[in-house]
Amino acid sequence: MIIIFTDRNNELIRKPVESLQVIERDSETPAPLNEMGAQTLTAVDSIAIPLRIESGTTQYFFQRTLNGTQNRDAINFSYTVGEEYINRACGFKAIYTNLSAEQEAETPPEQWIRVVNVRNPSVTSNQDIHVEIRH
Amino acid sequence: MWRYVTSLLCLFVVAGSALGQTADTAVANDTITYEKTYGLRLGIDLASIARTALDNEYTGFQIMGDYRLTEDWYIAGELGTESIDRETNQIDFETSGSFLKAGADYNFYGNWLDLDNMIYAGFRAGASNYSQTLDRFDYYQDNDFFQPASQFPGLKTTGLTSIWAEVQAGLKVEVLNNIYMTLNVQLKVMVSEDQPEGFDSLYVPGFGRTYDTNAIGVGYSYGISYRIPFYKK
Repeated sequence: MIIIFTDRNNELIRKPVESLQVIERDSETPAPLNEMGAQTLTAVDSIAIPLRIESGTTQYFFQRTLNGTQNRDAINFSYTVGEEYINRACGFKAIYTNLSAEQEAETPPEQWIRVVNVRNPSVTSNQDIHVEIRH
Repeated sequence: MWRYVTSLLCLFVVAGSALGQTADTAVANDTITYEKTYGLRLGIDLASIARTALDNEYTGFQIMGDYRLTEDWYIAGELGTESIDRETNQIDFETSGSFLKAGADYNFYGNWLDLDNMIYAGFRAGASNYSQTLDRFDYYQDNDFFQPASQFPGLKTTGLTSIWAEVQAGLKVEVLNNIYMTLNVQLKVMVSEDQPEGFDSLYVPGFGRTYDTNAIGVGYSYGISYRIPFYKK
């Protein structure tokens, strides 16, 4: 799933996050954010994170570090899992449809993420933008 | 000098008369023609039986036959069943079905005397009816952050049909009276191939394994046949 970060006031402008980790809620482990498997990225405006195949939901904490201060926002992704045949050697890959993303409310509200917006609800390749996070 | 020349002449005369005599008798022999036996040749493929014994993923049986039309042309065909139960890294599948191949063989070999062997090239149209089951698959993933368990859909697709064209090259050698050993190699091109929904026909009985990028198949056969002689001509 490809996520891009854009400006809170103007979604046409990419806005990098100073330092970002994305932590899976159940295992409390940081997810790989790019093809190299980096778990922390700085000045990043797009990431690719995996989704759970066996259940229709994946919960992530998006943890921003700005001037030494950490801020965690929780986003829940839900979807329908299917599979698609690739070829003899690779077999099948998972595809995700009906993607929705919901940010959890916090009390007191100290959220760095303003809006989570699903741009493309069908996650079938790594060539599209699926979710946009405005901050 | 002249002595030698005359003796040489003598030699020619003697040799010439001797040759004349053999030529006279040979004319009678020339009328002998070696008759060819015409009949139906039926056999079994030992290669698939051997592979059934050696390869525990494979079961196959094939009979083959040809019928002589002229001195060099035969109509020929094969009939068989094959099933394969294969496990790979990403996919386990089973394919099972039967096939029929029909065509003709042409003998290029000029036999001496009464020999009746073949070095031949043949063509076939092949058709197979089969089923394929997807037993297991693992999801292909860019990374292993989430490790989903193997899936066991056990999804069976029946009534699949594929058609191909085939050329063969091989030998048929008479080792005992009317007993033949056959060896051939086969090159095939898929003409029409049914695919299970959302999947591929990974193996087609009679055709062999398929490839993602082309429609080519290869095969071989090694068998023993008996010719039921009908008549000589």
